[in-house]
Amino acid sequence: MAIDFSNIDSIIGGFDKIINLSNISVPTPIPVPLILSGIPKRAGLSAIKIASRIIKRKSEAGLPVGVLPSGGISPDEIMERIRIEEIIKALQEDAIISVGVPPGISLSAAGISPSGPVTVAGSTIMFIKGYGVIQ
Amino acid sequence: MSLSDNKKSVLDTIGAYSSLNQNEDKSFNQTKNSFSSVNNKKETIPYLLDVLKTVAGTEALKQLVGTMFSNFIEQTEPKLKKTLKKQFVQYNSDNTLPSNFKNNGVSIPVENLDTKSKFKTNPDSSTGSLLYDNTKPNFDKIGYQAILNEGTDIPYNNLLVNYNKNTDSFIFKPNISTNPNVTVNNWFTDYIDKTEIINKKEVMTGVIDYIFGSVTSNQNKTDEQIKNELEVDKLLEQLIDNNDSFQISQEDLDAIEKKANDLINGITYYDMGCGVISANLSLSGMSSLISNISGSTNGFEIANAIENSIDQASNSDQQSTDENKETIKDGFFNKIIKIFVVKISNSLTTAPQIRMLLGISSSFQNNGNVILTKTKDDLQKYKVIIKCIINDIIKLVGEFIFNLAVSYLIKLLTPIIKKIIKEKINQFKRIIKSLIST
Repeated sequence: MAIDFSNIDSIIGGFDKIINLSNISVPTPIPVPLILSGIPKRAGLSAIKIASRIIKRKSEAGLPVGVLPSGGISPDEIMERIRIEEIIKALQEDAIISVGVPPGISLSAAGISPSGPVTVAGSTIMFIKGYGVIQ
Repeated sequence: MSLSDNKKSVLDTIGAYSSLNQNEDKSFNQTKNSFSSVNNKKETIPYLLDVLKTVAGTEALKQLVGTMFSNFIEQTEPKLKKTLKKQFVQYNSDNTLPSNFKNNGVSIPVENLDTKSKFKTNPDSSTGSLLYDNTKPNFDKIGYQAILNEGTDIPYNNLLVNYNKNTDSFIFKPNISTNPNVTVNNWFTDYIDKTEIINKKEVMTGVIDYIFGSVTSNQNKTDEQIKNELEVDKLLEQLIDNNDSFQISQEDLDAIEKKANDLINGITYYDMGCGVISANLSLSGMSSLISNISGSTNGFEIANAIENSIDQASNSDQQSTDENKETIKDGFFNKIIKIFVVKISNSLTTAPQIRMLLGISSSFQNNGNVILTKTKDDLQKYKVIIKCIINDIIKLVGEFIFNLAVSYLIKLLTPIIKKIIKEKINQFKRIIKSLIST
């Protein structure tokens, strides 16, 4: 890393390289059979469940949990639910999930030719695009 | 993004990592959001100091001061000598020394060499023992000796120094009896190689005196003399900050006038933003500080001794909370580092022996005529040489602070990287568990 120590841009670049932690620990891919078998069984997102888990953890930040001394519900906790509801709503209604499948996926197919039924073994040759939705 | 945005982004990211890295049971003193260096100016050192402060707080500034006074000078002197030697390579470097220099010498008025009137102070006096390093031979001591022994050649490395009382001038001749055919380049190189360019004790005295005026207030200098010295320092400071206009603004001139007055009175005022506090360090306090730190090679010891002196010097009748004590120390450490760079620049550009080399060099290029007047004016006259030297100083200081900041950053980031890796592993485990347990 050659840095020109009389040049402020070069110094900023030097620090940027050190503090940029984006390359640390690329996640291990999840096995595909597990995804295919596990995902359909999931319950899906729940704003109430997420908000309650966040409210439960408020004590970790030294904040009180539960009703106010007056007996009323903490507006902060109401706001937490509203916030998560809106985030989930946006994810479910506005997010775009694009799936890209590269060529080269192995396939075997059955079909009919003039001489009778045929079985084909090969691989896809095109990029495939798909869409998804968050539930 | 603008330069200012880029600077802020680095500082904010480091601040965020510091925040993430705090243990839950520790209180975190949030670093100020306003950094004086976050602007579109291209100066490097104030920004590096802000980064260092953001990564590790006042302790890092303190450590920097300690290591600068110990390791930095020792590590960088050889590199800065190289810089200096480059500046004295001329078109006639391969010629033998001019016969006029060898026979008659080059005459330079004392006032044109001695920017800070050092030769008027006896090295054995209480102030002189701080201004001069009496433990080893050096140009300034030889100069003083020559003045005492008027008309006598005093040898110093490959130089003979003689003082003429009538003209109040030094006459410099080469001391080349063993090699009369030495070339211009070899003579300059030999002088620089054999001499000490940056004297640690002198730099330390210069820095501490600039802040407290402990020596200046005991030298009976006139207001005008001190203002001239401060103006030279200001011009160097401006060059360090990438401003080569060689013009001092009226606002800065006013500040210099006030600073000169403070130095005469031996007091420093520190603006904390919500009020001004005063501090003063007596000559005996300064003597004891310099004798403690000048022989030390331990950065921590030096930093602690300076910190103690700051504590003692800050006037105790002022209300000090822990927070503003830290602000005061930050201010002092920042000031010390800033002045340190100026004093190192002094050693390489305006010190008597460098002025002597410039004078001799100019006489070689101008048929024996020395082109040397007031230091302030000469800075502009020799701006190419001065700017090259300052640029190399900035690079070395910048690299030094950068490396220290990086060492702190690594300490800061290592646990964060571990946390991120752990987080990713836990995420993976959680996803797998959620897929098989539903």
